[in-house]
Amino acid sequence: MLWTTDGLSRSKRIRVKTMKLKKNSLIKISQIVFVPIALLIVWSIFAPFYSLPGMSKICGAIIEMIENGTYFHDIAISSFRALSGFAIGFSLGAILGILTGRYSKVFLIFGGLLLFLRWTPVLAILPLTIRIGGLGEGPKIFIISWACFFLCWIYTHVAVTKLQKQYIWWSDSLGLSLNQRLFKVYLPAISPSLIGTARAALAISLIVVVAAELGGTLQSGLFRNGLGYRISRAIETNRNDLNIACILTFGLLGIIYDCCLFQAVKLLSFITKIDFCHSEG
Amino acid sequence: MSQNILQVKQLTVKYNSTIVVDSIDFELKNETIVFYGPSGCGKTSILKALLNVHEPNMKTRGSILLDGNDIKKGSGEIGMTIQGPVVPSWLTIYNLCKMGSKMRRLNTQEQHDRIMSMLSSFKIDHLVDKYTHNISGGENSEQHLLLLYLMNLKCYYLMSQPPLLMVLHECQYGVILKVKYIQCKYQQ
Repeated sequence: MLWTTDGLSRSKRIRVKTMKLKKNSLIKISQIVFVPIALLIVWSIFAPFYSLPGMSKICGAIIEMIENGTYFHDIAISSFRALSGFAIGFSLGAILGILTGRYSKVFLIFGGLLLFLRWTPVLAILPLTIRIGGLGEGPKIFIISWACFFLCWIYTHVAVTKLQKQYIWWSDSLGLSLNQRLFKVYLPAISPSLIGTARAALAISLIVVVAAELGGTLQSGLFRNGLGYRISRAIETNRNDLNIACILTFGLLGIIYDCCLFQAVKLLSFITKIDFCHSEG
Repeated sequence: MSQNILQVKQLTVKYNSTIVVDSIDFELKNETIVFYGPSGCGKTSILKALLNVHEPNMKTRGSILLDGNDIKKGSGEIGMTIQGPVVPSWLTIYNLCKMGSKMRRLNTQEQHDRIMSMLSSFKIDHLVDKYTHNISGGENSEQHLLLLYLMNLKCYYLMSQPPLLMVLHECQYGVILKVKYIQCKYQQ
């Protein structure tokens, strides 16, 4: 049956609207509350069969980490590594992607090498990076930015090559300056792809930070920090509760990064009056 | 004051080795002409050449003169409404108007006054802060077209790809009248 509000009185229409709002808020509440509760129940039922800790133990592990002061310190260190790697990789990748996408000569010069390096598995070059750069922050941030760079480069390159020619002609016909073209036409045109790429790159940065912290801390007494290191310690000491607590923290960090990214884009849209989340592009 | 005479002499447009436009000549002075023909006969290529838009495999020969001078690329002297996505959907109507070639020479206050007076003369000033994708379909395309004309005020000649294709059939006559009005009021 097709539901429409045509032909209804004003009060009835308002009632229909209120019902729709209630339905939407119920769906939202169920997303936030019911689904996690259901997952907790399922976890509590099945965890003992696989010798996994219950949720109370996991919460206890988090409290334990907070009490001994490692929890927030580890989060800060891992976030610093992931976000600085992401920032470097994303900016370089996006700039190069714009250049290779817009100017075919730049692609001819760098394209082959970049396409080759893109396929080198980042986890395979991690030991080499540690061997060359040591166990400090530099190699960890380098490896994260390496992983983010290629993802951002290829997606930005594709987005720029698929940029509608009409927008370029439109800019030509208005006689826009390079600045205006770049910041008011070309960048906003590819912004939905850039936002998608940034989200994917943030996820990659969290994956690689774990690998970098696992690989960069096990062999030495130095740099024993970060959530990745905590996971390796938890595995060594057979503390599944600590391990799962760290994994869940990574999930939470991912959601926080995602929200921050969206809020930053919204703020930028508000300031510049340019809709960066438009559906075209 | 310039005469706004557009002269096209021996214009040839080639894509790779295929000649699409072969040595055409015409001259325009404050008049309207129509190019029509089947798909692929070179209508858009002529417009691209006039607009100085060059695609990687496109080659042009001949001269295009405005008042006896070559047209500088990207000078905003010749405007074109475009087939496909008409204007960027991420800009507000206000920002769109601000990007007009003549508009950019004014200071902020003058720009604001000019934009508001132009929009209110077409009774679309209520859309000033809206994004183009937020306004309704028929209204949207009609305004797009109008705004393009408004924005290109510095232009001496306006080149239109199917200009009324996106406008509702019932609105087309009204749009033509509005465009004529803009041409008379602002373009001189």
